[in-house]
Amino acid sequence: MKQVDAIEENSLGALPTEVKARTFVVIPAYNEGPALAEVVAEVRRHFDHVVVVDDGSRDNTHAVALDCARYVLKHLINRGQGAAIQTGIEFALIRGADFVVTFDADGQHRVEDIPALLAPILNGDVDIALGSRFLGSATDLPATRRLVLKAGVWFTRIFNGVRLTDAHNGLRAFSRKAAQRIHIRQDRMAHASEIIDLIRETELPFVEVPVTIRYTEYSLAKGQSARGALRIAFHYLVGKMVD
Amino acid sequence: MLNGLNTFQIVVGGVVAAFVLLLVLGSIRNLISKRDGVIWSLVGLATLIAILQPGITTKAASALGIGRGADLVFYVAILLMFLGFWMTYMRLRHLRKEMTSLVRHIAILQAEEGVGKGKNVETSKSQNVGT
Ligand SMILES: Nc1nc2c(ncn2[C@@H]2O[C@H](COP(=O)(O)OP(=O)(O)OP(=O)(O)O)[C@@H](O)[C@H]2O)c(=O)[nH]1
Ligand SMILES: [Mg+2]
Repeated sequence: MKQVDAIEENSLGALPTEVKARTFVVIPAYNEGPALAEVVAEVRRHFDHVVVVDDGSRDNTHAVALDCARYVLKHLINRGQGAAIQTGIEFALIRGADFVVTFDADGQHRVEDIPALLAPILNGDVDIALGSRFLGSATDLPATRRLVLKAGVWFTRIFNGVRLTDAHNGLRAFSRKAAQRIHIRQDRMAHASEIIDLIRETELPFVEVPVTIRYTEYSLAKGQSARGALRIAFHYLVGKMVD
Repeated sequence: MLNGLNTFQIVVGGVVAAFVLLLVLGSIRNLISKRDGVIWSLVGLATLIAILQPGITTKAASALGIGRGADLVFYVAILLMFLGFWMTYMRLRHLRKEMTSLVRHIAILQAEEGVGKGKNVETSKSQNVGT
């Protein structure tokens, strides 16, 4: 794993317009009506190709997305975050994306972090950049959630055999090549661990990049619980055994 | 030969035999998978033997060092139940995967363009895409 430095130089303003135009930002959204408009607007100030995948939401997510996103894809039935991301990635590839960024709809990610994720890919150093809140920072991260995430990091060390500082971060960037080779089959939350396995199997070079994850009351109410984490671990292990 | 059988053996044995028959016919006509047909027919046949020859479970149990025949039947039943759960779970997983492919296919085919399409947001500061 390589180190990233000089992130400050890669601010959004410094990122070439041409690169922005070749970047697709995939935003999976499940019942994110209240947060989505603001999140999409913030991203679209810098990246035109915003793909919202409405994952069978029962609220007004679809209408909100049509109002603000460039592309709106709709899962007729809820299939989970992993499935939604894979759908968005496939669409982005069809539309000729050279870089694909995945970005959460619940307002936890900052668009300012995207250049730092793209930088090592643009340099040709790596094909995948994974955001890490533990290299960067997590604001208002509750102690229990921190514990669950740290457990996830250890879980990854043991079962994936990869040393990461943050294994379950939705903010990532892929080169076109990586997006083509990584095919997410874990439809629900276990895709995060699956992606790490796929990175190892495909031997695509990757790097962890510090990012800031914001925890708000809204995102916490929607996020994963400790019990949820056990279910995710189960899905991951079953998938590893039978797929 | 039927004279030697009690009512229980005739009724339950008959039901199990019918069940095995259905499984065999079902797998011949491809209504169920060959694998499922073979596994559950064998289970049914073993049950049939245990019903018609009650002493056999005791012999098998003592051969395995378990003791009573009823205990052996109990353990085997539990194991088979887990096998059944597992096979159903796998089937469910498979169905979910197929559903996802279908849902994904439709989503991509019916992709919509949002209202702010084609505008490069960066060049026009005044634009408010959120409303
Ligand atoms: N929970 C959930 N989220 C989904 C689903 N489909 C898409 N998503 C989106 O996936 C993103 C992340 O969901 P979260 O549940 O917050 O997961 P997370 O951010 O990895 O976990 P936390 O750190 O606990 O917040 C959001 O943008 C959701 O809208 C789904 O079926 N369930
Ligand atoms: Mg979240």
